Amino acid sequence: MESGAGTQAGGADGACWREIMLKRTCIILFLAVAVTLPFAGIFPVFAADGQRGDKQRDWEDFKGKTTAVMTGSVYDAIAEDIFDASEVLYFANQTDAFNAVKEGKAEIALYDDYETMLAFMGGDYDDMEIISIPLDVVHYEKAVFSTDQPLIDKYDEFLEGIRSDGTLDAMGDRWLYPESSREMPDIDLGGGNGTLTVATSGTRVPYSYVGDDGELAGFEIENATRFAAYLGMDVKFETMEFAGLIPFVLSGKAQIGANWVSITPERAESVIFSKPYYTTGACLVTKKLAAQAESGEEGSGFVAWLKNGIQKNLVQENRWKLIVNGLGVTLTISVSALIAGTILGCFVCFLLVRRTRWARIPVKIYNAIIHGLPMVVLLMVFYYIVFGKSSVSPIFVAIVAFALVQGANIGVILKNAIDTVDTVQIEAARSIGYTAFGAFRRVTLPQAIKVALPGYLNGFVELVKGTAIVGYIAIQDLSRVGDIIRSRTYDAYFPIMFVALVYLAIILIMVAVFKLIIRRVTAGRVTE
Amino acid sequence: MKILSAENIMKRYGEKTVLENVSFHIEQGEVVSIIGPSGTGKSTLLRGLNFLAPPTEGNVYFKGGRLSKQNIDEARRKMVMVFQSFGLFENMDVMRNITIGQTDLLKKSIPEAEDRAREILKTVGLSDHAHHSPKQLSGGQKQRVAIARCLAMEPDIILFDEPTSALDPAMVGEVTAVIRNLAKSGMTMLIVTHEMEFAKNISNRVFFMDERGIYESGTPQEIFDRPQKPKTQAFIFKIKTFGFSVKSRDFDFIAMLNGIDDFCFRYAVDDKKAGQLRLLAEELVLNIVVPRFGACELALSFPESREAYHVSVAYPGEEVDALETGDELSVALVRNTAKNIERAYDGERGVNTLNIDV
Ligand SMILES: Nc1ncnc2c1ncn2[C@@H]1O[C@H](COP(=O)(O)OP(=O)(O)OP(=O)(O)O)[C@@H](O)[C@H]1O
Ligand SMILES: [Mg+2]
Repeated sequence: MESGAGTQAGGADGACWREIMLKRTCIILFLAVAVTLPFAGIFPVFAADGQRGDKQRDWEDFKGKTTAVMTGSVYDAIAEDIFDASEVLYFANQTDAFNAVKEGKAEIALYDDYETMLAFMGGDYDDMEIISIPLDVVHYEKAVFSTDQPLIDKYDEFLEGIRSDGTLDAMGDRWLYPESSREMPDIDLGGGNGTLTVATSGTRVPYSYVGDDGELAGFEIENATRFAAYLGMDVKFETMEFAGLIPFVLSGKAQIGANWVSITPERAESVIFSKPYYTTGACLVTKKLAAQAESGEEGSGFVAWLKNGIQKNLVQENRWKLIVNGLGVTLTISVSALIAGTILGCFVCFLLVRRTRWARIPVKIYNAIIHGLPMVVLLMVFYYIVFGKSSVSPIFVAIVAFALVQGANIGVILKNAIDTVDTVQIEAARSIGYTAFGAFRRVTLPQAIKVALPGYLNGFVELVKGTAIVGYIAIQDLSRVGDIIRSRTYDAYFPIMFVALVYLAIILIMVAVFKLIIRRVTAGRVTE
Repeated sequence: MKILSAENIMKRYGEKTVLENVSFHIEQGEVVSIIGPSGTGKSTLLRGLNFLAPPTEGNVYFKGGRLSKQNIDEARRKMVMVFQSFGLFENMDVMRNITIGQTDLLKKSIPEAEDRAREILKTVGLSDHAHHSPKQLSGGQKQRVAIARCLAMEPDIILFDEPTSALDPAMVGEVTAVIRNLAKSGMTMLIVTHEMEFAKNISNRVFFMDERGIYESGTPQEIFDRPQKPKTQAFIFKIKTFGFSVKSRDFDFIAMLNGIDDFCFRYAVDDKKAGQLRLLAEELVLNIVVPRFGACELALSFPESREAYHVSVAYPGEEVDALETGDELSVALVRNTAKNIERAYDGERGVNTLNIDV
């Protein structure tokens, strides 16, 4: 029970008594859970010694190992400074980091102790154990952040209020314990002072996650909503990868970030933190000794796994609606970008076929820039720089960025297709009286389209697949929805596989539709 | 009635002048063939007339009106063109190739256009190919469809640019037959061609093009049987020529003799004739003309029919017969070998020429 002692000792020098108490209750509650629930033995550190014959291991035994952390979290610093990790592997969220350990890619993963316990309750990590790190070694103070000092002052005032009237305790009870109700209370909003935009991840149970019917829920959601109410404002949440939170707030796209974020000196250099409302510790996860030896045991049959997967990831809390919405977003971006890109591509092609230099040069520059940047970078440039201070919807930004790429590609595809139509046919058309445009419309274009279609179709497939990165700019597309579900259900495989199947299906359907169109276009012309 | 006139047409590509001061008139119902060596601007002339490559200077008048970029699209409907490589619209079947101009440009209804197309297809012998795609046709068939497509515009004149040059020899006949029928029906046509027999039979007039314009023109008989100017003659009689310039007394005579041997070998001149040509060249140049005059121009030539071989030697100076003053043995050899010897003097340039037939 060293960790319990550590909790008290560590908590004593920084946080107020309430936080110590909370921390302690957490651990005691978890002890109870660990002993009484069927997953007893998951937390051997807290459970009775040697319950499973595992040797008690100490956090200090895990120095110098391959260590998995979440990108943008505080744990990479611990990995380097305290654990002296031989290698640090970065993952977009904690689920992936844990799975890296499960699969043997990393020996340990570092994370928030409380969240880790919650994750382990799902039963997906039975072959792994949590080893806690004493609070005097590491502890973190959680706070919201902003770039706006008056706003933070307001928040501190607000925090003082909810701390003293017991609301903060109630919030803790509502969200932070295993038996918490986790139901968002009704909060009256809309005092007419505008809208508070809040950056949050939506993938952190129980602070910020997508709950029943796709609504955001969690401690931080309630926290931010209450704060908005306090300010007499409406609230709007933007969700994004954890690593994108601070850049997002810095760019001014959100006034405040609320995601159970720890205060660190580096972060405090770029944003302003409020006073902390909670203190937490860290832990590491690693494989159980027994599991290390006999890793790779199979589950109890594929059908059961599938049933369970569907139940947990799709049916429960109507998560299939999330998938449908994500799919809708992916298709909206893809199809809009295709349409806009096609129009742009026609224009690019028009400039490319001009004989004059001055018409081609801008197109060359445009192509060079668009093709010279990785898509993610281009997307971020558009989101944070080009549309930096304006409050356009991220979906619109994604459409613009993808349309520009499509435009460049389609322009070149069309130009090359037009070049394949032999000039004699065009001259023949002109020689019986067609205008240049008439000859283009009747002779060049139909043939060019036929040549261009396969490349165009290919480009569209690439586009649909390429949109999987829009999660970087706070869009919940199909891929990101998969992540959100994973972070909620702690199921490593099913959501990925399901999302993969959905992608595959829409792409196959799209290809089939296009093929049909191609056949129409090409067959229709000759017998017309 | 003059249907098409060219007035001082000139065409330049960059620094290069391809056509200069070309003028002519074409009468209604006339068939004019344009012949000439490759690269002499025959295509350029046709494409200048219908402004596919507008002339740099000069005017074209069609049915009395001056053509310009503004009225050319309209004019082209009545002055259509057939190309060497057909140019069928690959995205349409044969029928659509022939109807599309009618429906788009002549504003005919589809049934009307198709009726007309069927009539025309009958005249070019392709009634049963109406719904083939261009890819399924042979070269000869393609060219006939291209002609049909032009006819569908009810043209006043058809320009042909080497309509049979891209065809297998076996298919030339089916296309020339169609053009012949058009001639019979009174269609005005301007035909660039390398088919000499065809040009001779079908035309009312022939233009021979060279030296940036119409070098010689006349009836087919005049051009094909009695061409007046040397380049026309060389072209019509397919004269093969070897030329060599001597600039000084110590010229490279080995090169000259090698050149003659190559020339004879290339055109398979028989050994006896080759020996005679070589002997004449050697005696005339080496022993008679150069020792006295120091320079000369040698030319050996014969027409494709090989009815005669010619040797000509031109040398500068006063009017003088080199054979009268030359080395006696050499002159005797020359006189023995030659069938006929003529001498000419161009007083203006001060050049004597000996023309010798073998
Ligand atoms: N677009 C062009 N740009 C530059 N030079 C050209 C162009 N078209 C033709 N020429 C030049 O003009 C000259 C005449 O060409 P043209 O095609 O009219 O000859 P032609 O008599 O039709 O020859 P052929 O019998 O080979 O078809 C050639 O020397 C050619 O190189
Ligand atoms: Mg030509």
